[in-house]
Amino acid sequence: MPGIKLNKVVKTFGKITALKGIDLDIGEGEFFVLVGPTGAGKTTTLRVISGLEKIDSGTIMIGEENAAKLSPAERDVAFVYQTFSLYPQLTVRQNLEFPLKSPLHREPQEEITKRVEFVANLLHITPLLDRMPDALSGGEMQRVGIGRAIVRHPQIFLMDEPLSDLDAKLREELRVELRQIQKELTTTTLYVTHDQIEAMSMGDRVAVLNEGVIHQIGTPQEVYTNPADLFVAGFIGLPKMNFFTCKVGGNGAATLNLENGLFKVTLSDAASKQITKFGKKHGLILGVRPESVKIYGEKGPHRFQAEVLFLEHFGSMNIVNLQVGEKIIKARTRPTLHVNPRDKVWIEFEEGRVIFFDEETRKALKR
Amino acid sequence: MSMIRLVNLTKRFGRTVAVKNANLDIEKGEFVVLLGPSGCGKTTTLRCIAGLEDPEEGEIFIDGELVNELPTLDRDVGFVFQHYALFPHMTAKHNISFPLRAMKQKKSDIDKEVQRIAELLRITDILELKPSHLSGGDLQSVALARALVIKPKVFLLDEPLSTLDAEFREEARTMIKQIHMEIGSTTIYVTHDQMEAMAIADRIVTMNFGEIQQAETPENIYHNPTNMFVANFIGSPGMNFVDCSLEGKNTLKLGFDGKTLKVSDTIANKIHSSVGKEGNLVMGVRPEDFSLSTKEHEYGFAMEVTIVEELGPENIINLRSGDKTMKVLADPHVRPKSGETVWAVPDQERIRIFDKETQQEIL
Repeated sequence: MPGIKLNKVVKTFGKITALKGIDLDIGEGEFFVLVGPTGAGKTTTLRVISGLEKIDSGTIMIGEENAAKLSPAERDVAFVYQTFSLYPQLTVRQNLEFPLKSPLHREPQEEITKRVEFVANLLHITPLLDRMPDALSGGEMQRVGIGRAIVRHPQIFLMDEPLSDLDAKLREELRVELRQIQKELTTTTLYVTHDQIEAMSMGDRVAVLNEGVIHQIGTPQEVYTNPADLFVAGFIGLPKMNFFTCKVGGNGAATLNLENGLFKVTLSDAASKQITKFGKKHGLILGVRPESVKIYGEKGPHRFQAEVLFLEHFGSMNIVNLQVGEKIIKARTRPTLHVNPRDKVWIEFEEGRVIFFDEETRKALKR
Repeated sequence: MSMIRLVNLTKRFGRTVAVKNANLDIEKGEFVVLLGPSGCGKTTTLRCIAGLEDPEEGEIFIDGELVNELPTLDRDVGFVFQHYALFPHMTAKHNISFPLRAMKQKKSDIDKEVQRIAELLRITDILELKPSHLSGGDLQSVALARALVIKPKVFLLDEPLSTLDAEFREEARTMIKQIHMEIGSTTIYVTHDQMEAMAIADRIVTMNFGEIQQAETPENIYHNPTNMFVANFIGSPGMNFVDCSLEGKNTLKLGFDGKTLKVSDTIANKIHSSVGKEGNLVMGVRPEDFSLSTKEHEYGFAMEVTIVEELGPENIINLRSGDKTMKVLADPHVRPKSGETVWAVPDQERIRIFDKETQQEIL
């Protein structure tokens, strides 16, 4: 299975630049996720790789070959889309056989039957093979649609939000199955989604994209724990990371004044050093994820006071909304921690889990 | 007397029963969420309360008054829909003041009210803009403001956040909750999103096929679901279900791969006493109520790890044995390898048992 390389790829639509110099290096057999909000350029990236769109400049390599010299068919990619249009007059089996019967991929019937049955088994749709599409549920249709892409063993899968039309339960199930299937087939896969949970759960690596620019490439864990900038930090993780504007206080870098003096935080030595290196006394943003906001009943050296505003119960965890002045801080807690609205509590940011950003460049400070 | 009371409410569309014999009491100031899949009757129930649908049977009371015959305008309700339906030619300010102007209130009073509500929703800076210049989130705030400006006794919201991006949805949810805390109006909120319901509700009313299944606080509905529908619908990832039967003194025979699970006397006794039958049961265990052991465990069963999903604050460990798959929610440091065998050990206190036939909880 070939890898895919994009070098300074630019794509414009009229006055709009959809891709502003994209560099990507997707490994052989890798499950690579492009994640970003609407209009980030994710789908355009898929379309230029498949050859459905021509690029303005830059190069795309599929394996050792320059894609510019390959027709879309020669690129041997299979698309999986958000919504599937199965042929309504054909059975599930006939729908799956269809790509193998095209003039380009004519195969003996014996081979076709073997391949269809292999794929049906992989996707748990063997009992559905003789049904018509209108007798299928949404989830079953999507399985058949995925099957149709898989059945002809393409070199590359391009998946464009294949799960976003399905209900939450089905999505949880299918994202695991898709991951397993890809592991088994080892087909190089580029998967596009706006859902950061899908990106975290499925990708070997992810690229976070916004407005035609890649903000960060890394494993899901890298992107989550060490976001490169404020955009990535805010986009990955739900509930969102808490952000505070801050200013270095009186005694060196040890104290931070947050949100214009609303409250103070005393820093660990490591964090102080990081701030000292930054050199400026203001123009800093502190970011801390909800699970790293710890709630205590009593005062402590690194703690500040807040009031519980309200709780959101999710069963396996709670989100406690805390208020300091006008600012709301979200903390993710175990259901066993009992606090009530209007309780006065003490907050501490977990040691080593605080990230600083330069307000001006919006980039994370080096650790 | 409660602020809203539904008594045997039934609404049909042709031969379809959209709402079947619904009984519900909502207290003054309560935030109630109607939750269920599409077609469960939640929106129809809301529309009956608003006076947009006439029920065939049953009674609707608002603040003690029977309102079945009252037109919408006289019911003192404000509502917001999924699509905001703002007047495109009017500024945000004029959209918000529209209901007050229709009631022919004094201009100075109107201005004061609009200002107050705009401050509450933090939209004072966009009041002079027309809808075409507003973001999705701002449009939604203007629609909320227009519904709130008349200070309704009851505030009705039908999937108000479902057209927003996930990122903004969370913020808007917090805002709605805050507004409710500040003005305390009785609120009924319709959604199909269980996370949203869990986050925002004082009480969740789950519906399915036109019938109310359970009305409880988020915590209670999560931990003590009355039947398999509610157990399955609430929670993400969903509850793990396993067909089972009680064999011997306290062994559950599980319906896959010949597995068994030893259970406490408490569970075994309850099964004996509450159904009097030992077969045809379903065990339900929430993903976070399993712990994993790499060694054989007396109160667990062996499964193979397939995929570990690392989501940041938690990991989902996917397990398989034969045709059966299960999900276990664990802390981020728990990372068994694919292909490894582990023993899934349910927290005995948290095991739920359902009757497979009636789908009702028996434990």
